[in-house]
Amino acid sequence: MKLPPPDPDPAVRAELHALRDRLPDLVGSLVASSDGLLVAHDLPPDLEPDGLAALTASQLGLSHRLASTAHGGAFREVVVHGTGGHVVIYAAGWTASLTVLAAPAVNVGRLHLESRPVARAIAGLLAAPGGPEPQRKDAR
Amino acid sequence: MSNLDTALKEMMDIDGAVGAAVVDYSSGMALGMLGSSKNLDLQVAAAGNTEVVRAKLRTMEQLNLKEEIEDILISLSGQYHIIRPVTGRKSAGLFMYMALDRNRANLALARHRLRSIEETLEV
Repeated sequence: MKLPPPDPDPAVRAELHALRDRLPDLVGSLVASSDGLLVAHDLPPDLEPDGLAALTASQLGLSHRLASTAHGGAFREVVVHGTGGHVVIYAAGWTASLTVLAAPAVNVGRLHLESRPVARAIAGLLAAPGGPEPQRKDAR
Repeated sequence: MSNLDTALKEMMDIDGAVGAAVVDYSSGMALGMLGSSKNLDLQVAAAGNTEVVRAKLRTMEQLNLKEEIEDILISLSGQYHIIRPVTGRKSAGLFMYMALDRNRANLALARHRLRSIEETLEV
């Protein structure tokens, strides 16, 4: 008999903490569902995770539509390069996203190399049967 | 063919070359690469060697060394890795990176060739 999968929330949080350990210029990270609900976060205390999750969702929706309108494909990631730092949003499956905040001097190449596998791992955790929000839309 | 593609091809023409890339070390991303394979993922090499260049520049600053890096040589048991910052006024912030097979490469010749390729590189 198979054991039920472990609760993905701590697992998702563990992925975020591991990402922080590997990237010294990381400011914080969060996972949100495509409808703007927070799944897990690892943000400094001065940032409000729910607001950022909602913002992420609107950027995600816009980027999804832009990618599919322009090229007819799926959305993978978007980099916002501000004077105060970087915000990168990675698709984590179809219904969630990983948002990574990094210092202005971050090595973006390395940021991508470290974050992409984390986004894939989180997509896997969230898609696991019995997983928490977000539910897979195509499963209903 | 752009100047960058030509430079990468010339780098790969150096005896023993197994991979070549031109990398922007402000972002850690490669502007161009040639010879990437399963054994040598040049995207990983670009990001990783960006840290090498940044660390060296930081160290030199802390040591108050007002000099330029001409090149950085890393000798592995089976390969040479050469990093050469590009000095052209228009190409500041870039470095050339190449990996050579130690058994087939002539290090002196490779450094010489790399210097002349760098002189003509304009991005």
